[in-house]
Amino acid sequence: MAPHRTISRRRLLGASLGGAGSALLGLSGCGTGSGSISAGTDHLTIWYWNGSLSDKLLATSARGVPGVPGLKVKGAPIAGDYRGRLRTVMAARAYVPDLACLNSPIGDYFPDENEFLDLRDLGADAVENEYLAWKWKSCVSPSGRMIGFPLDAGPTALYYRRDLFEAAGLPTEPADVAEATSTWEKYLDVGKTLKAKAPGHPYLISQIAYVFRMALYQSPKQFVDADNHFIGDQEHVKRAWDLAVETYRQGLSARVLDGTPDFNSALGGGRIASMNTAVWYINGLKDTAPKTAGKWRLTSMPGGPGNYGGSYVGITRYCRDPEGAFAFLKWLLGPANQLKSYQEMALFPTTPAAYDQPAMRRPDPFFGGQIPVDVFGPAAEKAPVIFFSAYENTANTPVYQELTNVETLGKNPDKAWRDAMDASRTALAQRGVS
Amino acid sequence: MAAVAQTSSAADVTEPVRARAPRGRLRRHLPSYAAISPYYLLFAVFGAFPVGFSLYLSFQDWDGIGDMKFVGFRQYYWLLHDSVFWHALLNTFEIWFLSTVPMLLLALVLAFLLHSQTRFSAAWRVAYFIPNVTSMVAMTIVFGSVFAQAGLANSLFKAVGADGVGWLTSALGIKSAIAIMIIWRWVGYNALIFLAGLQAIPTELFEAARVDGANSRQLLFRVVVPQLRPVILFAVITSTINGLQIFTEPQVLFYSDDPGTAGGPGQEGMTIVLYLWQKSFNDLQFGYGAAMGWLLFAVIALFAIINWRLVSGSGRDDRPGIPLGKETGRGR
Amino acid sequence: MAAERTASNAGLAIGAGSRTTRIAVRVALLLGVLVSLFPFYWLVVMASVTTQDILAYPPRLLPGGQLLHNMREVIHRIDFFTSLFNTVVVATVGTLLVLFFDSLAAFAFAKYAFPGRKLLFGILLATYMIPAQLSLVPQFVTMAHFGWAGTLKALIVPGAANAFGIFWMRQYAQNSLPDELLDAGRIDGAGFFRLYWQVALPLFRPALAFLGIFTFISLWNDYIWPLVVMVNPDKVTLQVALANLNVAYNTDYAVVMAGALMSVLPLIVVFLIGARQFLRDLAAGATKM
Repeated sequence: MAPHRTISRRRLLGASLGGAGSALLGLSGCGTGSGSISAGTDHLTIWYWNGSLSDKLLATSARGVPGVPGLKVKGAPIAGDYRGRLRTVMAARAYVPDLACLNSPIGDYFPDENEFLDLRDLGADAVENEYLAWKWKSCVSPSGRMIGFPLDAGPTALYYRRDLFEAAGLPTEPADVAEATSTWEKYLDVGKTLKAKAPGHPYLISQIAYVFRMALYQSPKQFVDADNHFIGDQEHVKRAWDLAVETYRQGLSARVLDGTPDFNSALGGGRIASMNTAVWYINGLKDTAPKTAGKWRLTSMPGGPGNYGGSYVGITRYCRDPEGAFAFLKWLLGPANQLKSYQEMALFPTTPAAYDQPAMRRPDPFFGGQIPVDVFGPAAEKAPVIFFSAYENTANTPVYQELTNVETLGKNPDKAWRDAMDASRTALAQRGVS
Repeated sequence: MAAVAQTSSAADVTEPVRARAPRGRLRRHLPSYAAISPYYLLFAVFGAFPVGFSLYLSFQDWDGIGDMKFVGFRQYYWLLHDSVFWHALLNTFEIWFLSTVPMLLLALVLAFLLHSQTRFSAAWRVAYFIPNVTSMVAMTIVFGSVFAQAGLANSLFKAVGADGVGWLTSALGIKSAIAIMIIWRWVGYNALIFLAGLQAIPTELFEAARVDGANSRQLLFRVVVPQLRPVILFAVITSTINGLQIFTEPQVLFYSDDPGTAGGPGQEGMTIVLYLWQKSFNDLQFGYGAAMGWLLFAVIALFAIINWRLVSGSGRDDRPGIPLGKETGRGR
Repeated sequence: MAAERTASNAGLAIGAGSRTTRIAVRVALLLGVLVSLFPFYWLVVMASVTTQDILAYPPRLLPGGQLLHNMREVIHRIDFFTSLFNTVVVATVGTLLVLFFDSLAAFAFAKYAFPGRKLLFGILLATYMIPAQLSLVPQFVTMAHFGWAGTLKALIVPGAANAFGIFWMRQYAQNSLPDELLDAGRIDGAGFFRLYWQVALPLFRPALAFLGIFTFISLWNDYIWPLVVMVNPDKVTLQVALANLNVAYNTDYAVVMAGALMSVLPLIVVFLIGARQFLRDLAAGATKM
């Protein structure tokens, strides 16, 4: 009855059962072929997160994919840590979706590339020339498997509150603001003026992680290079880090974390005067701060254009109808529907043919009638092509965490940098990268 | 245990002696074994087997999807060198301490107050017990907005001219916020347990003490506290087991699309079970998660032994500890 | 019984205080109740206003008129009724199974002497000490291997009999089930299961009520296990659905709060129905074992 006696009993039991169990589970290593979530239904299922696919197009495909008789595809929205959820369901080998949106960086899915069908086997090559070359290239794993299909791109811009800039006596028109914020250093100076002169002393940004992220995305190199070497301690990362820390030092950050009630309240309440983020945040901004409509403007980002996110769609090996699924992809992500997705969801097309369409040039009253593509179009063209390894998230997570520590807990930035580098190296070493 | 002895002798007497032949005996006891077997079968499959299997897993590098790779003791090596793991362990104990001590003291006070009430006693109890009945996910969402920077808690401070507190943005704030949620949820529960203990103290004990000229203080420390000791121990054991498994509050409080935010700023709200969940089901490091489970198992076993000693030391060796109430810890 | 004792030694512990002390005690208790119930009130307030009002300063302290609108939004955004249904099924079926298996095992442990009983009971108690979270990964892998991941079976079956309930019911059976009744039944020729069903079970009723509510609440509120094992997004429990609503629609907190309110209400109703019995047995469980 004494616990310590039972522990040894259980250890014994555990050791003997463990062997048997592994033999048992080893046999189940390959899928049973019946793990699709849509098994037994008349439709295929695609996993996505809110905002990653057009709701209208999904509603259409749920009734029947146009041009593909008898094919229906329904969307299943997934909340929370999307990548973890998708990999968990693959580990469960049950209820795996036939298709799944894949978030950027796609490299994180490469270790599990065999879970996805090679889209080239389904005839992807035939449409390659319709898509942005760099985007297409990023879909292919180092072993040559094309696991994702281009969904959208994430050209970035400086979102700013024209009214607050005006009140602070700063330039107000996009071209002038771009001039006044052409470098990160000049941007921070603008932030100081805003804080001093605009009503309510607004902050330049919501959190310093955005400065770090955007400055880093202006570099083609990230944390791990193509030879799987850690390069996160080099100048391109350190510079972005220093800029973020400088923003904090000058008190220009509202220090509110994304998705918290405080963030919503600060953005809606005019305490954040600008954001540096991707085109797909347009809908998020409209949802979060509906009452600020008309006050925002867009211009090119300090320090040059970048690309943040932009997603992919993959077909899993559990898919009940790979040909049908690929036909759906060609329909959903063809130039015509990418254009619709841009209009509805601000998903920036990865099909250059869409860029010249008049519909792309529709003014947006939320931005005072400005035409967003005037800013995002050039950014998409000029953004550096970034190399993301399969270990990017492993390496950069500690850095983002340490930036939060600096900003919210007041941790010494130098110590935070050292801790971040140590944690990055340790996390990578654990996965066999150095 | 007295009742057991009684029934066993009674059963022996009613059955004829010849039934003790091995085969007849088995048949006679078959219904009993059948009756208790469901638990042991379920435990074997869903309890013992996973524990054993996790030992095997802890020597593998596996994301649950691809092939397992044998890595020997590497997972344990990394775990011992993982500062987040140690931080989580420390956080768990800090939150446990921050919540348990005030909770038990408050519960004790509340029990005394409730004990003096003869009217509406059922209504009082229901009112104080309700926090324990509600879903922690829902209430964490509520508390999350109360503790926001511009939330109700800071608005109250602001109204009286005080500075706001970084409830969700400072080490102490995060731990306090989680502890407050736990206290809110468990004070009433523990108070009712203490109250039951108080009510079970025979009136004669008080009268005898009074006759001996004891004052209120002596009554409290000489009569009430010793009598309540087993009940208090029970509450300590329960809250220890629960405290080591804190998960829902920090998980929901800092849940976002980005797994890097788990545990909040500085990962000050990262508890062991939250870290185990994050490593296992966000990062899909199954081997690592299994190894963590085993280290955790060692910690809990240590606590179980300490608890056991405490209970045994109370002079009630015939009592196998009182496990009531642990079940509510499932949801934490 | 508890009530009588309350009357006899009530007030002894804090002295048979003066009138002012009595009033002070009552005021303190009322304040405590306010603290205890305030978060529910606050939940109602936040669920009935607009998102813009939630973090406004000065805070809005009275409920607004948006409750129905927010609740409709919840139903529009998540499959509330499916997750409610799943939770009800898990909690109800799970509770019935626990009541049956636990009382059956408790009956055998309490009233039958069979070889190995002490050892088996010891094992049962020891297994009780081990938190399930420790083997979260292998449990998940086991479920995946059975093909149970994503199904309600994964939530119901593993806990269909539990050590706590068996232990608790056994204590109850020892104290409240007279041997004479069983002997009388045996003379009438009743076997084990008839004795259990016809003699023991009716006498267990109060204990079953307590264990039932207890199990129901635990199953209803369980979070980490459904979060891990319910991999099918169309089939989750209320707790997981609510957590998902909280992350996915964090731009609209009033709706999240309405969802929280809707997930809390059914359980409070169940509890209030059985509260008297439950609280009495909770107290009995803590002191009489």
